[in-house]
Amino acid sequence: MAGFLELRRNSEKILEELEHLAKEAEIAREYEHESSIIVQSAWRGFRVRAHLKFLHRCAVIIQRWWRSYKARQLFRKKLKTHVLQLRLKYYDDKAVKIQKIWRGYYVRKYVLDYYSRKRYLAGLEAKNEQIRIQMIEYREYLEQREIDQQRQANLSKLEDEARRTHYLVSTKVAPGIYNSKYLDAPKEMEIILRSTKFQTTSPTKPMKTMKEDEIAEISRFLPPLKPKPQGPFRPSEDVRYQRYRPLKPSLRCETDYFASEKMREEIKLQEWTDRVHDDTFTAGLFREKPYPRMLHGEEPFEEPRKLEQLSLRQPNKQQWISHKGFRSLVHGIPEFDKLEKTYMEPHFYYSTS
Amino acid sequence: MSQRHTLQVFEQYQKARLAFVQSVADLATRPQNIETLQNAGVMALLRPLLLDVVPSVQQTAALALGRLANYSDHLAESVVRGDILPQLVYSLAEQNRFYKKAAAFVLRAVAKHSPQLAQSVIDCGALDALVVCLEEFDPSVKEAATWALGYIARHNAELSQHVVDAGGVPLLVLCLQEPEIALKRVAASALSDIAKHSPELAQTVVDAGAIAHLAQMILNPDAQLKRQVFSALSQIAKHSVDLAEMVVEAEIFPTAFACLNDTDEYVKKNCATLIREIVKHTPELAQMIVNAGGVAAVVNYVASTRGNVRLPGIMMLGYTAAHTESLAMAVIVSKGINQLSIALNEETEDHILAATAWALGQIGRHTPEHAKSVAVANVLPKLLQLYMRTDMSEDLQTKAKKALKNILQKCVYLPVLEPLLHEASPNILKHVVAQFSKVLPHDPKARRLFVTSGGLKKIQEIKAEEGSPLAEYINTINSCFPEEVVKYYSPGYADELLERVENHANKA
Repeated sequence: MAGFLELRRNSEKILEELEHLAKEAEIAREYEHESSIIVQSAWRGFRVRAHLKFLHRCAVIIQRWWRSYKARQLFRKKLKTHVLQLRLKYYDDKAVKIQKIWRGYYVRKYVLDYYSRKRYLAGLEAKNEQIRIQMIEYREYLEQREIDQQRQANLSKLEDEARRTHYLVSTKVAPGIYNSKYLDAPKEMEIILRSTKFQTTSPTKPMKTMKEDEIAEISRFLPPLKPKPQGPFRPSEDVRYQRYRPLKPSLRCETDYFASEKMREEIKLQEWTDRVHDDTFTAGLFREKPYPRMLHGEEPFEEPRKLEQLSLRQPNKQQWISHKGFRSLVHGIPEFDKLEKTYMEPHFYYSTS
Repeated sequence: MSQRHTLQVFEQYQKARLAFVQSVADLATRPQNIETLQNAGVMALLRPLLLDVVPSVQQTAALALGRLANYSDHLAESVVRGDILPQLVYSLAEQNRFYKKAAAFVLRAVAKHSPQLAQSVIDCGALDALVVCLEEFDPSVKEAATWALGYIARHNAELSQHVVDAGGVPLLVLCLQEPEIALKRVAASALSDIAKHSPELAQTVVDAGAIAHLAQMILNPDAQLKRQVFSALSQIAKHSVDLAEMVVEAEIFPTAFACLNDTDEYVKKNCATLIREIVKHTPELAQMIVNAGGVAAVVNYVASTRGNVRLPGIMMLGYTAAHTESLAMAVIVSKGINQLSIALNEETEDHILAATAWALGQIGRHTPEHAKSVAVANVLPKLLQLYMRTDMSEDLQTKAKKALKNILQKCVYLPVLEPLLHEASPNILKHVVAQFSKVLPHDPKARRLFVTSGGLKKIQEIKAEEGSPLAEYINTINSCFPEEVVKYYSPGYADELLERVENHANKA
């Protein structure tokens, strides 16, 4: 009881102290709380950083291994191409060396061969001489031709002249102007005059008569008549007509012996050309059947029994019954089959015989 | 009786028409009458006569029209404007051969003046009718039709293409094979006109097999025919290497070289043109021609002709020498340089001189040997002269300069270079001096000659800018000689010596 009374007397102080203690405790608690947080966070941070570091290291290791693997692959590829290039270069170099040696040899032997060039030029000069001679010959030939042509032209002119002035030729009685008795021999013109052949003038114009066309056709082959004969002759027109009278055969003579056959052939050919195609027209429905002799000889003779069975009402049970045995899918045991009770297909391994 | 009277009237009219048309045709042969005829309105009168009933009036009217159109392009245009051409083309298909000849003559006379007129001839559908005429039997009809086609195709490539499209080329080649010389001539000239425009057209002509037939006619005696044949072959060969090779495969060489010495000038010219066109393309073709002896033939040809006719020969020599130095040597061996230098001295026209200068440059530019052969022929002073003359065309001057430069750059034969030292202009002098500077350091005899001939003196007199190549060359030359000699020959040395004498005297 005393204690209780003391408590009650000091209750305010106690309460105050309690309060004070409680506040201090609270502050301390707060303080401790804060510091514990700090410690925890530091520790946690440390842990996490250590973990991250570890992870980083692992990742780096993985990356390193992976990159080195890829790099080695790439390197092998590059090495391959590099080696290929080296090989190609080697062969190219060898080929170039061969070409170099060959070209040097060829040029030294053939292209730069001084003596062969000299020979070539000498040969060229010889050829040039040949060509020059040919050209001169050709020119001479052409000039000769021209001279010949000129001479021919002159000669023909002279002959023309002579033909026109033939009356100047000398006769036995009177010498012509080109043939003087004081000369040893007659002049050139005289000789030409003597040797000219009289040129027949072009045929006279044909007489215009009514029978002209008929005559004209045939008179191509026969020589022309002289226009006016002297003496008691019939007028030349009539003589001509009689001479060139055309043949006038009768119709019976004129027609060919085989006229009718030929005409038939002609008409056939004409009709053939007019036809579009040569096949005779048949309609599709009409089919060529062989001539039916007699009806009861057509079909083969059938037993009436079979005819009955052919009726549709009754089922034909026989059709499902076959006289063949079943085919087995599984091969039989050869020992059992040696008795040869059923027929079997011969098997490669298990054959009956 | 009255019937005879009426018939007589008609007969008189017919006679009058015939007489009129014949006299117009005769008058139209002389050029001085044509103006008067035109002023009298002859076109309007002739046109209805073309549709006359009597065939001889039609034919003579067509002939008269053809002669009028032949004379001038005004008249040809009035023929076109008067719508006469469709009528002619229609009757080309229908009528007899005399009319066809006359109608083809009119078409040719119209088409020859200009491409537009030729185009209007084509527009009337004349090409098909003319090609049908080519299949006729009568050679004179074929000749007239071929001539018309040739004149149409002459103007440009488009018109030639129309002629080819109308199927004319195989028929023209058939015409080549006919026996009549006139027809062959005209067919060859038509083929030449077609082939000249483009490689495709030339290929069409070749595909029709023209080359073999043309090659057969090379040695025909007729000069006109040979002209046309060579012209046709050269037009074919000029376009490409393949075509030139095909012409060569027809084995025309060496027979064609004989024609270079023909009596007719134009045959020679066309033959030389053909050889030039072939040689132009590749060294192999040029080598082939040289091996067959072509260079000698062409050199002879250049020697025997004058003026414009020589030009293809000169160009052929230039082209040959341009390819390789062995071909240039072949030209030299065949005495080409002599002829070219003679030509250089004789000719007066610019383009021929330019071609000769160019050819000489091509020969001399390969090696010192070639340059020496060219220079020894006394060509360089003439080239220098051509370069210096300002009244000539620029083309000639540039060619002469280039040729001179090319030859000089390879020339080491000093006696020839000496005269040039004294005459040349500065830019040529540079090359001459350069050549001297190449030779003199190595050749003591040449040095002696150089001094005695006055060359060293001339060198000292040249004023060159410092640092220019000319100054360097001069220095090189001066360094070949001892100092006293150089000083002795330098200008003003006499004055310098006298000054020294004076100074010496003063001292004493």
